[in-house]
Amino acid sequence: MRGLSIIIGFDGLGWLLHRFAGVPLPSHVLGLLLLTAALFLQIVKLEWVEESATFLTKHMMLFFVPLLAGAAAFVPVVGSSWLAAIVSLTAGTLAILLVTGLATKRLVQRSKGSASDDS
Amino acid sequence: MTADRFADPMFGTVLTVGAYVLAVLIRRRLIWLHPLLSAPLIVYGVLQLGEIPIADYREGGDMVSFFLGPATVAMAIPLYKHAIRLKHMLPSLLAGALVGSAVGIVINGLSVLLLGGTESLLRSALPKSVTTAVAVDLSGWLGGSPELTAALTVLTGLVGSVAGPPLLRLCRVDGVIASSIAIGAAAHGIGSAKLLSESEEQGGLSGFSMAACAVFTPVLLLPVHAWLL
Repeated sequence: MRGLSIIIGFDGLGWLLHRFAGVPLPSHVLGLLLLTAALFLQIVKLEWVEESATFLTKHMMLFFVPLLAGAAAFVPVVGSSWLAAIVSLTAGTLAILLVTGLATKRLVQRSKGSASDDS
Repeated sequence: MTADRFADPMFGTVLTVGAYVLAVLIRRRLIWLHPLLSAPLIVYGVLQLGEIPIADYREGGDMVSFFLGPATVAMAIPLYKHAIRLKHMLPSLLAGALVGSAVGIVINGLSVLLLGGTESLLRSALPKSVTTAVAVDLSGWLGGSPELTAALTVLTGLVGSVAGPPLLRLCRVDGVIASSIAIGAAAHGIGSAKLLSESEEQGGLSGFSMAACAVFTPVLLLPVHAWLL
């Protein structure tokens, strides 16, 4: 329970910052940033949260099911812009794949200099 | 049948978990049918067959999707673990993920704008390459529809995980590192899960890229947010 409490606590902290301090980022993202910082600063120890986090991320797909079941109602919204939706789904995704892949390949090669484990 | 007997959190919760378990079992037989496609269809089918209002289902469904928040926060753990392990090439990997996030926003935005998509589609499609929990969160923040974003994001993940490996090989991005980072940036959790089933290293790199993009994308979207409002 400790891990889950810490994670929900950071989620709540993100919500407070977003809602009441007006930080212009979504609350769960703020929670993610704060917990990452807390891990690096050793305020939160990895072993406190690791088990709960693995459970949550492993079953993440389950948590999307209600949202997706409700998505059927949005088919009419897409209706008029189906072409834009399809192009951004395919071309957009392929462009990200290529640009990221090529950029990372370059960057890793350059930072390495001598050959090591880039299989 | 009186519909309001389903207006109980228990109904939506059990239906959601049941549909998910069934979808995972179906996956064992039909490997191409992703559980995130079949499970919502099972839920939708049950609601239609039983003539149950979506509002009744939501009482339990909302309890299940509440955990998207903690699950997003929990991504801090793989991010931290991989950052420690990949220390020697961290700047290159982070820069790669940053490039991916920026390209994602620009291409997603431009393709909707140029092809005459509605403003609601634009607001919902901008964050669709980032992991679903963050995409949904960003969509609400940008004034889009979280449900539409969830659907677009899942489809993006499926497109990226199917087309990613062959496309990258074709364009000679053949190293494990670069291709895993690319798939994490373009196909978030769904792509990462597929890589993880092949090797722990690829899955880990891809998960790292996904988590890094989950941090970069909201920051890069800040000016877009200011512009849209």
